Order: sequence, then structure tokens, then C-alpha cells
Amino acid sequence: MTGAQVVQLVVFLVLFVAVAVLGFTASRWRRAGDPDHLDEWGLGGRSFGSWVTWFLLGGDLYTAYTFVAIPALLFSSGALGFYAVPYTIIAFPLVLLPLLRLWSVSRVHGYVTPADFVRGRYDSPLLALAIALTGIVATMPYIALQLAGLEAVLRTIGLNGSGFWGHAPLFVAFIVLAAYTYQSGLRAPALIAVVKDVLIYVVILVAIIYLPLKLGGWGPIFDAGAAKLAKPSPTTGQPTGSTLLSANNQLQYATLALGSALALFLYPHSVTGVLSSSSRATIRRNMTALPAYSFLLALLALLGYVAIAANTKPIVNGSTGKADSNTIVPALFAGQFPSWFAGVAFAAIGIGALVPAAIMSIAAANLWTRNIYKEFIRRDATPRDEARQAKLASLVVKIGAVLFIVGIDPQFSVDLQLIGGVIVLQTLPAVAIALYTRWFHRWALLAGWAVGLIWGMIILYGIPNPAVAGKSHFGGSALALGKLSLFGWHPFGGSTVQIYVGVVALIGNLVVAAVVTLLLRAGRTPEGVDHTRGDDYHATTVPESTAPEAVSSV
Amino acid sequence: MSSPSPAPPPDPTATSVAATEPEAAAPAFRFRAWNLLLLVPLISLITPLFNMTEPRLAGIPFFYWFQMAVIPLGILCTLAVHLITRRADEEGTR
Repeated sequence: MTGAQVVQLVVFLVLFVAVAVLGFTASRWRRAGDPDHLDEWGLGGRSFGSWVTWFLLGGDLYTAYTFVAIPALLFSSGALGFYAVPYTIIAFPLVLLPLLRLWSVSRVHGYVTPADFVRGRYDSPLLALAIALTGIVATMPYIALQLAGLEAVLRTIGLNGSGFWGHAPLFVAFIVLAAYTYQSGLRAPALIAVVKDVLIYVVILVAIIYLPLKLGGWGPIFDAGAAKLAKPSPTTGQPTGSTLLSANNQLQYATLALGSALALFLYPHSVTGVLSSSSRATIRRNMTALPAYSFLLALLALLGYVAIAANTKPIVNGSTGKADSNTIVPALFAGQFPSWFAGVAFAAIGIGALVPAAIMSIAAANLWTRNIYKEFIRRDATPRDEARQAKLASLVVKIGAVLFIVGIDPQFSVDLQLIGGVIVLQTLPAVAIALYTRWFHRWALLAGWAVGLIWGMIILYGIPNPAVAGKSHFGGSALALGKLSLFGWHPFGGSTVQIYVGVVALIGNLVVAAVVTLLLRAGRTPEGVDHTRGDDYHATTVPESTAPEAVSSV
Repeated sequence: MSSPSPAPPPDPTATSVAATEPEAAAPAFRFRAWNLLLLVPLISLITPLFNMTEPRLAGIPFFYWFQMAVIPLGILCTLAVHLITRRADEEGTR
């Protein structure tokens, strides 16, 4: 470890410890109800106002992984990585109205998870189970990726040991995280998110003003990026990318942005953030203001080109022995900033990993508790039992995520995240469309979900990554239309235009759900009782007669 | 809709809605033209519009600064919808 790295480590540790203390004390912050009720632990008492929700959702959606991986994507493939910008531009306007409906109906019926809503809407614990499992499975690799982001920072600081114990600093960070999440529930990440945002804003603003000045301005930075990306790759002989989109990846760019935007609020942790807010007005204000983070993300994404211009090299991961492109932003900071400020930047990324990891584990724990434990294991669980169960589940989820990181190549966790996005998108008909219409039959939704999942997985399995030797499966989320096969029929034979797999699988999902709905309705299959009513979706206050326990009386 | 739906449970806060809406399974949905403003940011998905280097702004190619310029546009559209529909929404008259 060099002298500069010692300074970085000290600054990092000071900020990290301060945040941990904040996390533990958060349980006392604005506490109103019974601390052992799931509404308190898992949704912060449903009391967060506009500012807290803004920081919470900002910390939830713009994660450390985003801050590390998006610039890394521009660094290695160019313009395609900028998809994160249109993705976050369109997401909030698109989801504003559906989220208001979800908030109202959840408030009236006491729903804690999206699967709770599906259960009430379709009178089907089985469909709710499918939605809950999808959410948990999609969230696990997402938590693992936060750890990958945190570890990228730790390895840059010099804590780059080899083998199993090379992960030890990560274990320590995670035990601290697990302890304060257990103690304080959703209040901990809500409070810490404020610190994280301040740090991130300072770091990005400094980086975006200071680095271009140092490197001769944006013009030369983009020229350096274009020159490097145009060089043929040693493995494929093709250019690795371009600072503009090609004829083949424009559709991929648009569908990836659209699919990611639609998936964003299907992730259970986003729903947790929304349901913890205190009013519809809070959500409206936040959906208006959250795109401000997109500015940050856009500037940050460009750091990928800055890293090229600064001739930054990714750090070799001590555990896998391979260059880890996720270290490109930390390495850029370490190389260009004074060491104390690099320490601040690393703390910002590290804390940026802890906030979403905490919210995600809480969301997964809520799903387990409400839609599996209470539904299938202990039907008479009291709110107190639920809270205890959720706390334990949050620990299990985190341990699972750590095992992901230890057991597999970080590259594989990126693949899993890719799969997670594709599968969570398959809950769109049962959750988002159901907010507007109950036209789809519940078993048809289940059939569409299953087809979307399986088809999506088959397509992903068949996509190779030619740039990585020996990688013939799960090589990316871009499907060449010419390879699209419907039972052996290739509707776009020969086309090299690429499209995002998630959108393809979603179309399959919707078609199957529609056809099966018509068949079931022709056969007069029972549709179950809808426990929600039209005006529930616009409720601004909770009628006394349907206060929170409504779902258990269903 | 053919789904068998029971009569809504008695609820003093909802009598007026229940009277005008016997089919409780269908959520009250009212179309508002102003809400279409929320679709304006989708312009950032039409890649042929901006997939070019020139004109640059402060050295940044058009592809990048155009999309960054759509961010405030999206905020303005969402803000407009928020302000215009806020009153009706908070009174719960939708």
C-alpha cells in the first residue's frame, strides 16, 4: 500500500464510520408507531415527506453500481453506455400516474409489496407468489452488484488481497450494514442517503469541472475516446465501439432504455421507496424532481471518456487475476485527484453502495415475509411476527449476496443483473397493467409470466460475447433480430439489427397472456374476486373502515 | 367485464362513487389531455434525430448534449402536468 493509498483509506474509514453511527441512531429518528411493526421497520412508518423520499429514491435508483458501471461501459464500448441517460429521462414521467394509483390502493388496503397488490387484485396467492419470487430473484444479484461496486473501491485503495480472504474488507463493511439495517430498518438508508448524495454531488461537480480543465477540454477528451474505441480489438478484429451509435445498435439503445425504464419501478426496492412516502403529493413532487439526478448520471457517464483521455488502466482484481473494468472510475480518481479527495470520492461510491443494498434487502425481506411466510407458512402471523421475520430475512438476503460475490467472477454478477432486468420486466402485466385494467385473466398472467421468463432466459443463454474468449452464453442483452426464432421460423432472417431481450420477452409475455385470457374466458374459468375498487386508486386519505389490516382479512 | 364482482362493501366515504359506478371491478379512469405531456421525453428514444457529432457544444458531440438537453425538457413537462392536475388530484375528485 502506498502513502497516497493510506490517506485514501483513512478518509474513507472516517466517513464510513460516521455513516455507520448515523445508521444505528436512525431507529430513533421520527419514530411514531410500534417499532416492531412491519410498517415501521419495512416502510419507515409510511411517513416520509418530499425531501426524505427524494434522497431515499435517489439513493435507491442511482446506485454505486450505476456510478461505477455506466462510465465503465462508455470506456469499453462507447455511445451505447449512454443509454442510462434516456432511460432515466423517460422513466419518471412514464411511471408518475401508475405509481400514484399504486400508492393509493396500497394505502387503502395496507399493501407492503407489489405482490400484496397482485394478491388483492386477482384473489390469487399463487400469482402473488410468482411476482414475489421474481422480485426476490431479480433483487439478489442487484445487491451483489452493489458489493461489486464497493469492492472495486476497496481494491483501488489497495485492499486487493487474493483468494477468499481478499474479500475480507467487504465482509466487514457488510456486517456493519447488516447490523444497522436490522436495527433501524428503512430509516437507516433514508438518513444515510442524504450524506451519500451530498458527497456524490461534490465529487461529480469537482470531477466534471477539474478533470476536463486538466486534460485540455471536452473536445480532446471525445477525440481520444473516439480514437481508442476505433482501434480493432485483439480478439475480434472489429473496433470495440464508437462515440456514436451504429446502424445495428440504435434499436438496442432505444429498447434497452425503454425496457430499463419500465423495469425500474417493478423492482421491489423502488416500490418500497414509493410506498414509504407520506402522500400522493410527495410522489408527484419526486417524479418531477428526480430526473435532476440524470444530469449527474450523464456527466458521470462521460468520465468513461475522461478515463480514456487520462490513459487510465483498470486494476487487476486480486481474487480473479483479471483486469476489472469496474475499477476504471476509482482508478481515474486515484490517478488524477489529490489522495484526500480521492478518499472522499471512494467514500461517496462506497456509501452509495450501502444505501441501495440496505433498501433492496429490506424490500426482498418484505416480499418473503408478506407473500411467502405469512401466506404459506404461518397464516396467523401478527404484525410483530412479520417484523421479526423480515429482519431475519434481510440478514439471509445479505449473506446470500456476499456469497454471490465470493463464489463467482464479478463479471458473472453483471450477467445475473442482466437476467434480473429481463425477468423483473415480466411482472409488468400483472403489476403495472393491473393498476389500470383487470382485463387479463389471472391464470393467463401466470402463463404469460412463465413464457416471458423462459423465453427470455433461452435467448440470453444463446447470446455469445465474441470479445471474451470462450464466452458463448449470457454474453449480453442485445439480440440480433436475424437470430430471433419462433419455433424455427426466423421472421427477420439475416438482419444484424440488435434489440433488447427484455422487450422481446415482454412482447411474448403479453401475446400469450392475451390469447390465454380469451381461451379461459370462453371456457368461463373463475376469475376470482377483485378486493380493490375503482376509487381506491385515487384515494388521498385512508378511510377508517379499511385501515391497514385489510389484506389479512381478505 | 364479465368478472363476477360483489357489491362494494358499505363505506361512508365512497357512497357517491358507488352510486355512479356499480361495476366496482373497473377502476375509475379519467383521461386527461394534459397527461400526454408526459410522453414528450420519449423523444430521447428516437436515435436518428440526434445520432451525430456536429454541431458540438463546448467540444461535446451533439449526441451527448442533445440528450442532456432533454433532461430539463422532461422536468418541465412533468412539472406542468403536476401543477395543472394537482388541484383535482389532491381533492380526490378524479
